[in-house]
Amino acid sequence: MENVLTIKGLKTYYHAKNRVVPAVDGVDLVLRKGEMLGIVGESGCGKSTVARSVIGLIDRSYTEIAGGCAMFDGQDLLHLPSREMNRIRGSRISMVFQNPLTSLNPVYTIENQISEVLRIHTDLDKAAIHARCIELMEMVGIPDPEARLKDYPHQLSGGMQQRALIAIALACNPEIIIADEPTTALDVTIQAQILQLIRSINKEYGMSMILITHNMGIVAQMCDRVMVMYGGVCVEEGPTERIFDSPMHPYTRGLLKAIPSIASDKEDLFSIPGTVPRFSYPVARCRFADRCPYSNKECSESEPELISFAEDCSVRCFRTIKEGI
Amino acid sequence: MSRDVLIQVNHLKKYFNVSRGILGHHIEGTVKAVDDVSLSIYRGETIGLIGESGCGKSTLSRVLLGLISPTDGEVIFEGKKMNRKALKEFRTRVQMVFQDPYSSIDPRMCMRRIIEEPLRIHTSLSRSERMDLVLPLIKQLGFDEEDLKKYPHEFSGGQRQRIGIARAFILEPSFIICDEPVSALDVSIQAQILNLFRQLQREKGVTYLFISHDMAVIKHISDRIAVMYLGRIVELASKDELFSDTLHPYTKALIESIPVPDPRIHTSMKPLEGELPSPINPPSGCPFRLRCRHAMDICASSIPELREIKEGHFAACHLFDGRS
Repeated sequence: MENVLTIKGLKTYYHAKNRVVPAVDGVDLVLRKGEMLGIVGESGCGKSTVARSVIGLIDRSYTEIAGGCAMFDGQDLLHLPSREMNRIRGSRISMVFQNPLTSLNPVYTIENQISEVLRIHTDLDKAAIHARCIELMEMVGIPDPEARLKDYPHQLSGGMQQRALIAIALACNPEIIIADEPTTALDVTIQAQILQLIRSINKEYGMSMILITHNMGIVAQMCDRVMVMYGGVCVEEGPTERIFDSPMHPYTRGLLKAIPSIASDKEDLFSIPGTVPRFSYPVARCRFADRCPYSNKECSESEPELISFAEDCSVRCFRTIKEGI
Repeated sequence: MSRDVLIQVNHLKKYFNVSRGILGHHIEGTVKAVDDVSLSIYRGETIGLIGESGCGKSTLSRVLLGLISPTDGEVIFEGKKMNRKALKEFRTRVQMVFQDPYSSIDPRMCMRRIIEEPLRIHTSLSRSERMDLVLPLIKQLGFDEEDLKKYPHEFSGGQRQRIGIARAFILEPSFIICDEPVSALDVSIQAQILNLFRQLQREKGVTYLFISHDMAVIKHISDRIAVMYLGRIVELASKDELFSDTLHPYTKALIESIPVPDPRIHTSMKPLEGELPSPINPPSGCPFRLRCRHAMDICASSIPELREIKEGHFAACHLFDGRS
């Protein structure tokens, strides 16, 4: 399958007062045409920073792209001039954010906000833009689109706001949609509706998508492939079924065992000891070593590489592959 | 589990007026945040309360805690009717753990002051006597004596939540309301905190009302589960019963909506149509009928009451009018 986006060795560092935070520290990622790729991890693992770096939404005053490239249609997104990047962002690659109420502008109507994308990126006339807005509202399942277009964001419910945000992302038929925790702010029954919508967009329009989430249930139900991140690096990658059937990295295993599940009924949950540590540059050790039940001397002295052990499958651990733990 | 009733809630109602105009004189409508809720909570159990945002679960917990007074109905705690006079004594017996570990503890107090504050208010213990109570508790929660001098910003989210838990437990209350205590935490930390709640309950025999919107968390922690929709309890049963023989269509939809963390099991994700109706103008009759697949004529005209359909299994739905 054709790759639409290829990220190699992405490094995004935040410059804090007296230290450098390697938020993303060498991430490789390939997004294939029409697939749904999941990026999963806990808060602070760098999953949102990957997305924001690719789409150019990082504040360069304290953030540095310290290395890598992100190839999209023959261009490196990380080093495009901002004028060029503005042309791609929102039209060929678009993004859906977590909190719909803060992502929408409260003083403009929904129509204004959807048509803004079309005004900037297309040369449609007024009537055509209006027609496209209605079409988009229907695509995302907002009832009575003509009336809803005149509404302001606060007049819509959380689920409807998220649908409107998805409509904005879809406006120019982008090749890639990046959804960053699109349902975290929503209730379960509404979450199910939005996930259904995202899946149908992916399947019906063959749109390539990156779904960023911390919810393993959403990953299992939605994604074709998964990348698990920890401390700014990818620790494991593979097809969803393989990750859930036979997780290799101790962190992935811990994460899967720690979720309370409707199906299982254990007395106590498995929990990963400790907390997510804060890293400073340079990190010359396995980032999970402190919390890992299998870590040894080697793990705290040097950092393991991402090792590929089967097609599409790789893991960043000294011990699981070599010693078969 | 003994069937000794710790809290009896009778026909509890909490209505909020929605007003308009500068002086708020024009009353536009009433939000029935909690509408005729009756519930017995037994000593030593964990009762889970689940529902979507706006269903009234937080308002119910606030009324139980005496933070707001009910419009109608009564709360009987350990045989005594709760009223404003008995509030101070009541609060030594009932405590709360809040959702957000960042805003629920004072950033300008060190950990020692945060945890011993309830003791300073409710007891006349000396500083060293207070420390004798604080120290063993924080050791049990995984802190060192050194940590007592630290301020909240020096702790991670999970550690802060533990400080909130220590503050709730320091007076050895018999009832603790946990309002979404793990929803702001990461999965690996969430598991630690859930285990901690269970461990403390085994050791201290405390009763929990555990509020969450996450069915998997509720199932893990609870003995009995109450499902709320638009201010009313629509189903109440023991955990196993609720999952093996789900009665109310809303509970069914809630369970079906959860994405299962197993790619081989396809969650139907057949979503419930529509959204939570406005609580200002709720539909007539059954509050769920507009989203219900089984809605009948009777649902529009009369509100179904919470009735015992099977032993210990209550549901408020006209589908079971014939059964009891």
